[in-house]
Amino acid sequence: MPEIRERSGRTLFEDTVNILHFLEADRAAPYAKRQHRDRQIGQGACENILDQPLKTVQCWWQQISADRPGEHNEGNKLIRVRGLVGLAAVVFGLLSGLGVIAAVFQYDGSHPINVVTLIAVFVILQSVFIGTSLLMLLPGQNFLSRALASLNVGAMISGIMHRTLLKSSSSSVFFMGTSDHTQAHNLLLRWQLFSWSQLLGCAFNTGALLGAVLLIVFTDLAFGWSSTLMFETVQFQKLIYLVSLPWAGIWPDASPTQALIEQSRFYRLGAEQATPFIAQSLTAWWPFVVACILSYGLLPRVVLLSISRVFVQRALATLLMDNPQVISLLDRMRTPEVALGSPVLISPEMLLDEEPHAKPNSISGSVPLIIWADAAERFQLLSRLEKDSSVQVSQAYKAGGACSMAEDMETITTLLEKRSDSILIAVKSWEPPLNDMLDFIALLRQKCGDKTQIILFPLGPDLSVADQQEVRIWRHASKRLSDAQLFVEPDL
Amino acid sequence: MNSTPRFAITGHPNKGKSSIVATLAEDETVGISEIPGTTRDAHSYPMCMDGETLYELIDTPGFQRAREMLEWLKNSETSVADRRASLNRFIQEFANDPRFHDECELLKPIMKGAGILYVVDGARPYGSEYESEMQILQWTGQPRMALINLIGGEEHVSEWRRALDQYFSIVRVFDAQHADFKKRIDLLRAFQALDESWFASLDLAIGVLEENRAQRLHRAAREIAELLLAVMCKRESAQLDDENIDLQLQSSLVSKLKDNIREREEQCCDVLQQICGHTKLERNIERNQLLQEDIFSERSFSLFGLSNTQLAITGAASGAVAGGGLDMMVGGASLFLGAGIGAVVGGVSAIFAARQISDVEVLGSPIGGYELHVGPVSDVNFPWVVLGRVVLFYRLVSERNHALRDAIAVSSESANSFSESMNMKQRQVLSDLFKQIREHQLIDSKGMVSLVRQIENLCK
Repeated sequence: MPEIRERSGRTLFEDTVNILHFLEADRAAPYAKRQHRDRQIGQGACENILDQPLKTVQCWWQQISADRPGEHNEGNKLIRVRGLVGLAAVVFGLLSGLGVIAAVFQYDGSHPINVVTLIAVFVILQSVFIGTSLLMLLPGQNFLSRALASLNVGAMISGIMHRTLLKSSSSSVFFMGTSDHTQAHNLLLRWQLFSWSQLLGCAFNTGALLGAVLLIVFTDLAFGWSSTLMFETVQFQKLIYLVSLPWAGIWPDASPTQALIEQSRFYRLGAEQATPFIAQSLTAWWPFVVACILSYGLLPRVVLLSISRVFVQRALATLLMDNPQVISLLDRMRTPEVALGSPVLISPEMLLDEEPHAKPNSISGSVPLIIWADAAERFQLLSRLEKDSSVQVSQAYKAGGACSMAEDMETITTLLEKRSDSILIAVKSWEPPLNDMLDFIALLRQKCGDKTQIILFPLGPDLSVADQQEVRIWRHASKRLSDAQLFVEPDL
Repeated sequence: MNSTPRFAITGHPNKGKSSIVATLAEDETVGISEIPGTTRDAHSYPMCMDGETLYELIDTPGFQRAREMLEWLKNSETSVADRRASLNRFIQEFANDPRFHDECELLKPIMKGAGILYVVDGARPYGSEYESEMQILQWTGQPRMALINLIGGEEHVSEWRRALDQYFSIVRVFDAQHADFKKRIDLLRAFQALDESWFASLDLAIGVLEENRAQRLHRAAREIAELLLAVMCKRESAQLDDENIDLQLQSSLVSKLKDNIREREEQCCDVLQQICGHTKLERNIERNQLLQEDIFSERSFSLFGLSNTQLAITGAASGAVAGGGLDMMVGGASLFLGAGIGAVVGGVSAIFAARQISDVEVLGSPIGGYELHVGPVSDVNFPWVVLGRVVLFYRLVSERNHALRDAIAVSSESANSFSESMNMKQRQVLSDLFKQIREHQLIDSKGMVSLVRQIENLCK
């Protein structure tokens, strides 16, 4: 039976393998990227079918694979593997069918071919095999189903191929399920093995039928019936009647008559040579034999093969749709993509450990003090300097903060009237050194010349000692002015 | 006015503007520099749903020459009604002047309609130098809110409030580094009050963010459930020449099994980080020492697993449920002995099973030869250890603020508290699910739903 193909030409099997394979590798892709990609597809080509999960996933795959043609051939590989196992089953089935019919139809003219043997092989044994196949499908992994599974011919062929020809990990995982089983995977395996068994059954019966027809047409066969058990003819007639029931209405010639049954009984011991009339009647069993192979072998197997194909498709769909990654994929496709933040990465500038810095010369005489942006209350600061340092302040001025630019300029002009080697500027250590402040220093430098050292004196809140990290920031900022006589000194 | 709310985060340099953006935009890539004034250009951080911007945060440079700028504005002002025009003139005139680059950058989005979020540091005293900035922002006439950021404490909050109340219609205290999701949502709600035309967009944004948070939790729980299923079913196999176990091969398979499980856990943690938007966490800081502990180490088992007592109680409870089934079947005729016997058997078997790490078996087939199978890990405590580690990791990452740049702090107590945080019912449901996976190497879709739900509850 041909594989059920989608409109795109791909089979569900191929899609399932490729999608699961892709999603496994896709785990390594950044989550946000996957979310964006899948939502885009969900809003685009697949928008109208988002309520149909299987179609949605297949549509998604169509979009993904279209962007990467030829990349995803895992499904093709596995289709080939599956095809090989199927082919092996067909060849094995045909050959064994031909072999069995050759053995059963062995006729050297001494005794007719025994119909009882034919019934045993092509009716009873076939029914038993079909019955056991059906038993394997019973839910649950009980002892009986496990024991029968080891007898499953499809499983045996698959096992041999797995250990000999098909050593690719993907095929072994997919068909043999050697690791990471899921319930859906087990179900698929079960139906796939069942399907291979039915394929083999079909091939066996086709081989048997073909062999039978060839032998009937091209050789001279005679059929009779004989059993060690002393069957009464009437009993055998009832058995034949029961066996013929399936086709009695549509193919009467394939239902042996009472006369044929009576005439065709033989005993190997003391058998007489058949008359031409009897010999002719003994050939009349062949329609019955063909009907047996058809009705108890080929047709049930074809029906079971068709059913198994449908269930393989269903199991494939379940395997695909029950996969947690596919569930997550659908979730990504259906859920609005929420993006926060900027796609632009900005690398922040960090301070170096401890940048080298120069120390100011010792301050001699009294120096002017500028209190920048109300860094401290004037009298408290003067009193602290007097108490904790050797610095003598000649005059304290205010600049920055609430002062206007004109007032700043005036401060510079005033303080430069009295010449001094150093100028002290008290600043808030916790506030960043703004360009406003640096402009003031640049202007001050311009007015006072290169020789005067300008000392920035960072103060912590309430005149506390400035935090070392803050001092480092001030030192770093002061370097922007490239002023050799500009210092940052928290410890006067 | 544009109906998409836009907010310019403004203020003095180094007062936590970028931290606020990082927190509100859940963006760990926002550059938080130690050096003030390094943000020279405005950067946009939009909140989008399917490409549609619901609101936008704009990180702007801080004021550098506010006094000079204000003087220019005052000099060029003709009337109060002319103030916005003056600002526009300023931008036009100084657009290419590097001296006022920062001022122009910060004012441009505001003059285009962005609301103002003015950030100050509540741990530092108010200063007169802020006045020029606040006056300029007042001149823009745009909706304004002041945020008192608690970078180092709240010592000066009231002082700041008194100053800010004069210039801003709304003043809020906000700890950018420790604000949880609820506080961030509360802040967004406060933004709604700034301009009624933004209400609908922000309302939608809040709904989307809340929904998104629930989805993140669900996705994380699903990811953890997948991890549990994968590592509990993980096995390694190799072909054997005969049915005798090759000890060297067995040892290498055990190592391979452990490596694969470690790798899978690592992969799960990466995805959890990505779900929470903390992709840089791994590069910035080492995952916490406690979580770096090998998953198979004694310490991991003792910290994250259930204690023998907890295992016994959980096993006993599961056994009792099974035994209770027997009682129900016989209509209580067993005088409820079934539940009692079930509990004892369940408890003892749980402790006994805790001593096995992994199964080793040789599977043979007359046709295909022999295979050595190692795994899955059969230790009863193993899924609890995995669950404990990843749930703790998710809790830490999901609660982590995007403004933080320091290491995650995890104490042994928080690891221990994981098993304590589960109630008996949760432990029992999880124990049954683990048993199902262990016994069948699979879980049905109903079981998966239940597992995800349990993990969601633990992750909250």
